[in-house]
Amino acid sequence: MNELMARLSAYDWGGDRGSLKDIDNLIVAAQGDPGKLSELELALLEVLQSELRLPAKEYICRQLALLGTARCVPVLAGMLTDPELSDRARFALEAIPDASVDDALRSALANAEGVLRVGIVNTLGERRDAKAVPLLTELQKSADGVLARAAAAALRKIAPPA
Amino acid sequence: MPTSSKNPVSRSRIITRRSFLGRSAAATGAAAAPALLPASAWGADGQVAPSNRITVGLIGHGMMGRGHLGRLLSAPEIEVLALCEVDRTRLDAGLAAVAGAYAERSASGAYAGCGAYADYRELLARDDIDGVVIATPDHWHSPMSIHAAEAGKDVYCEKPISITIDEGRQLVHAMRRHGRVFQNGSQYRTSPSIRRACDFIRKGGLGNVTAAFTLWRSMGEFIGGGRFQPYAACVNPAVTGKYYAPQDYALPEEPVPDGLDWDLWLGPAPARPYNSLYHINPMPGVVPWSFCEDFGVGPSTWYHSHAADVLQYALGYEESGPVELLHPGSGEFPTLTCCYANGVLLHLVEGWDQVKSLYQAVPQEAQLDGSFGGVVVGERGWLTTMSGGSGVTGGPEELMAEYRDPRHDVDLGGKDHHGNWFECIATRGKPHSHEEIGHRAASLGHLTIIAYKLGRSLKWDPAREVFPEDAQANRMLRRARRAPWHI
Repeated sequence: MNELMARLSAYDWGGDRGSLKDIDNLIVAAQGDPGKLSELELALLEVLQSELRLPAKEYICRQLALLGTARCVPVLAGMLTDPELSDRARFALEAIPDASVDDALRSALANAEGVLRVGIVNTLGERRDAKAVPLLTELQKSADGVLARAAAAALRKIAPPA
Repeated sequence: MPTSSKNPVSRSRIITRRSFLGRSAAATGAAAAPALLPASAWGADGQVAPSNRITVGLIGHGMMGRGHLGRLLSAPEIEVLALCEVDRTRLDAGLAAVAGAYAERSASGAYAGCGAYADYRELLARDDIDGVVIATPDHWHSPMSIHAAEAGKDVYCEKPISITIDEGRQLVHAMRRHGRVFQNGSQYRTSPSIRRACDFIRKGGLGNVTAAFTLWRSMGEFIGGGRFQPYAACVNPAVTGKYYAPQDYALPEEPVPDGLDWDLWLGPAPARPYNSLYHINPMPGVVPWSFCEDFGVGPSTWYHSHAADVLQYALGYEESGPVELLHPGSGEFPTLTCCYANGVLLHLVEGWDQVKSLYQAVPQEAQLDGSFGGVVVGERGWLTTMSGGSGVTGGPEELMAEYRDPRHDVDLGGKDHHGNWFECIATRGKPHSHEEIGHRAASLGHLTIIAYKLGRSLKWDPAREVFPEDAQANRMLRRARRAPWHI
């Protein structure tokens, strides 16, 4: 595992995608084994919080979309307000079926700005987060047309018109 | 992204526009008009009067877009009013093609009336366009189709119509909600020869169908090509080429060509630096981006999307799907196999020789070739639904005598998939490969990719569109879009 994570830590633009296939395969093989999945999640989270180039962070987010649990939500939520990482974090968060994701997304709305905020609104809509309705209803009135339209679209997904 | 409150029924708008033209002519003195307008403007000489033409915009003028534009420009019932392309060079080439074609039918011998856009939302905002043809990278198919429906446009969209099952379902909802006419661009579906073969199978010509076969090749065939050679250290064909699903390579950044809006090219896909492998494809290649999972669906884009709706049509599951994906790792079958509710098995093979060597489903002397389509095997014999190569073949001889198709080749000249769409725009009918069929065809590819990626067999509920026993697989039904894009 350590050697694999070292390979991942060195991954950069132009890096050998084949060198990460062993991690892909470990994740596939761990299905149905909560212990192994948890071990992988922890290892990926540890690398994610180290000094990394963007492709490595993106790779980890893609894997967390597959195996992430509530455990990785705080780390991913911390990336939501980072212009370079916000979309990557949502890629993982949008797929993780845990209510803590919705809580984190709603909390992040207050701190995120511009297009990052729109992205969070979109993810709340895709997750059909009913608790977000009051927030989205307010955002629907925003003077920022892109944000207002995104909020309206999210509300239509959460509560489609009859 | 666009919001629209336009009339959701295009036909009524066409009539309104035509009525308006009629009233305008009366108001300005119809008697003077014939002296100013060419005969074609009034529908003479076999031409369709402008007021009766369906107005179309083309989005995407790459290799496939060029083919579509040629077909649109040759149709007297169509008027191409606008082109959209994020690459200025390609846009200019398209505009020149439109100007050249329409100059001949204009009174002045010149034409400069085609709108030009880099941003498709501006094209969709025009209220004089009835329908759009979408020929972009795969990741744009569903979002653009949905936004077009919201803008009141009918849609012809290249296959596969989605890159996830969820967005395909959202596309279906959008077409229904807005009452749009949608055609999935699987042209072989309209080929008379293919339809005849499928009808023969559906009516029991093969007896009970037991199995079908279609192509699904590994990534190596594509990324082993010469244009990937300079990037071999990144792509690593020796390792990743063995996989059967598109990949997420970290290709290095290259300068964005002049005139290309890379941000719009990416749209809802995760941000990646520009690399020529995504955008530039030496002639006569198509779909250069398809190896990257953010932009395409690999083997599904190359082969499967051409065949999937035809095969599911033949099998009677064109608006449904399999109930189980059987991974070769399970040991049940040597290649990935889709099982339908009635027990019919659709085996994905690397080459037609595997139909004989691995499955021994047809005689050794059976003539199987061509790329798009498949082989269907029943109690009474077998039949292909292929284009290219030898076209429709089958056996045994008694069965083919009964089949009695005067020509076995696939009648490519006879297919008129676009014409089927044009007709349905006018009649508000359902095209041969409407939104549900297109969605289910694309879904079959996505299901296959999910099973390959997870390396295991999966049960699938085609009615609810969920994996009832696999939470991890359900996570792969959708994926987040880059902000601010949403559908």
